[in-house]
Amino acid sequence: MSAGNRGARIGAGLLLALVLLALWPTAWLPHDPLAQDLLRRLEPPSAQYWLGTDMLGRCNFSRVAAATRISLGAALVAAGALLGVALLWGVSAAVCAGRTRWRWVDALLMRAADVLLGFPTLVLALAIIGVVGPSLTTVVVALVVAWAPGLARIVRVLTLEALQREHVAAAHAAGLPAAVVVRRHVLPGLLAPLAVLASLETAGVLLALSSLSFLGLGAQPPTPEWGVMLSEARPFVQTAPHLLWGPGLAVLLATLAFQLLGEGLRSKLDTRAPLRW
Amino acid sequence: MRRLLSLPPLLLAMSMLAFALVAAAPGDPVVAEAMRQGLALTPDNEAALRQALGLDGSLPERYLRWLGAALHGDFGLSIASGRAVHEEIAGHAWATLMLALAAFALAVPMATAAGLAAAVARSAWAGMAWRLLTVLLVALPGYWLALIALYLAAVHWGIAQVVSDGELRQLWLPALVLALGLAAPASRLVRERALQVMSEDPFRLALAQGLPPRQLLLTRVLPGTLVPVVTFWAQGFGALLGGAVVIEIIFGWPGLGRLVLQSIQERDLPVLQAYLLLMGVVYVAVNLAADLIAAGLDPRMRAGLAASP
Repeated sequence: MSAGNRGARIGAGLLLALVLLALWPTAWLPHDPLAQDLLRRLEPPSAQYWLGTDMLGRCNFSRVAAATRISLGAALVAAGALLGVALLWGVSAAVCAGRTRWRWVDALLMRAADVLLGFPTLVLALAIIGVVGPSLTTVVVALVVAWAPGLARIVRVLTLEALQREHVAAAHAAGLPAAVVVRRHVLPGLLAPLAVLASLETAGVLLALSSLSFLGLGAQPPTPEWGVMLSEARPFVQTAPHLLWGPGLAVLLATLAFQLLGEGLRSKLDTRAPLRW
Repeated sequence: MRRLLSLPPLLLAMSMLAFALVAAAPGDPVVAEAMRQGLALTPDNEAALRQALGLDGSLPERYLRWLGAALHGDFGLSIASGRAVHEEIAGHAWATLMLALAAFALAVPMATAAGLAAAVARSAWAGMAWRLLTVLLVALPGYWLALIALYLAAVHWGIAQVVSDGELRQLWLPALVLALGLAAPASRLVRERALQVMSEDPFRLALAQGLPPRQLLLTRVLPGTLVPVVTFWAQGFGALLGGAVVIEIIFGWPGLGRLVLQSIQERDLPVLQAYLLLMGVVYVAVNLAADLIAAGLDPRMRAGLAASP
């Protein structure tokens, strides 16, 4: 309990710091993240360049900081869209499952999820990116399509459970339309488990986004983005290993933030009280 | 049995998706092919090209033709290389399969041992260290871990090569990196299950009967963890197949990852389509195998009463 609590607090603190960094105006960074100084390429960290310079003599620290906006922003947008799609998908399937006339909609929605889940997530995302063409937008869309069905399934099960509770059944019996029942009595109960899921999924999405950018499929250079920066640093592993630390640690900390927050929330919401002898 | 019956429609629907995804791709492949060959499109050669690319006829017609050929292992010609897609795939699939299997073979014992050890560890420090390690490993980007491992092993210690040429003795480093990422969440699951088993009555009874705890760990706790863990491993194998792409690129491992990245960059859609379908079929097969194994391990599932706690 306390460990989860501490974790959640660390996660929330990390996240807050990252959000601040993302909102930090580019002009207040030590250097312009795009400004090149070709005479000072691949320099190790110094007082002037805190994390050294990259292969074009750009300030690595400023680039890592400026990348927060894109990397974190894209992950949050993707996770938000993911949650919205999964919620719509899962809740409408669950509501339709309860009515004889609409049961086929539930079957259709869930079989569609089965088909998408038949492919490994990242493989499906890669295929979508390949068909549409690489860009940050495509990567976000591809991840949403590939990840939503799994989440939709969980949402459906949660909604079905909620629909079976007595007060929901009573609201339904009182003649409230389904939309109102869902909004007033089902969604509030879903919020807590969804917050946990959303946090954990954001961690996964952030990792996937940056690895796809690393492969050159997402954000494109010279945009500062953690995955892109690592892929730019890769040819210089032998001569300038310092370039690996900044963006790598940034991805690690951002993922960690969502992971800790999600798990902390989960252990907080876990109402199972093990009997203490 | 019902599980088996649901497979053909699933696979059929997956093949339709793979077909539709490429059929709906923006841009006309005929125009692209004409440009590649340096031809000016005339109605004459357009019809010929369309036929050569298998793009004549209605969509259902094309789908059936494509599926029929695919069932015989024929996925058409690669746009980039002009070679048969199945040859391209076969040439790279072996390396990826080796990598995935090696990573799997490393991850399973690692996760099981670490999970069980964490479940029985009494010292708070050991528990803390294990917790920290798994949390870090779960959050660690696989490609970053790979870059660091490459830097340490190749540049500092000189025990690996920066660019591998696909030889088997260079397999261990990419396999280890892949395995670590998979083993961390698995070991948490193993620990959770082990704790569950150890708090149940049969285990307590066995302890009370005076059976040595160490022996019980192998005869009771380990088997008790297997059923949920098997399902996790099947999904993990799917993650391996996808995650292998990045690792292969970093280590220069000549597997499907390289082929796929190349086909994305060159819009080589037939290769991409074949890759998607192949990975889907492999993944479905692995999941089926996991379900069968789980059913074999747990009589309740065999009886069709899905075990729900």
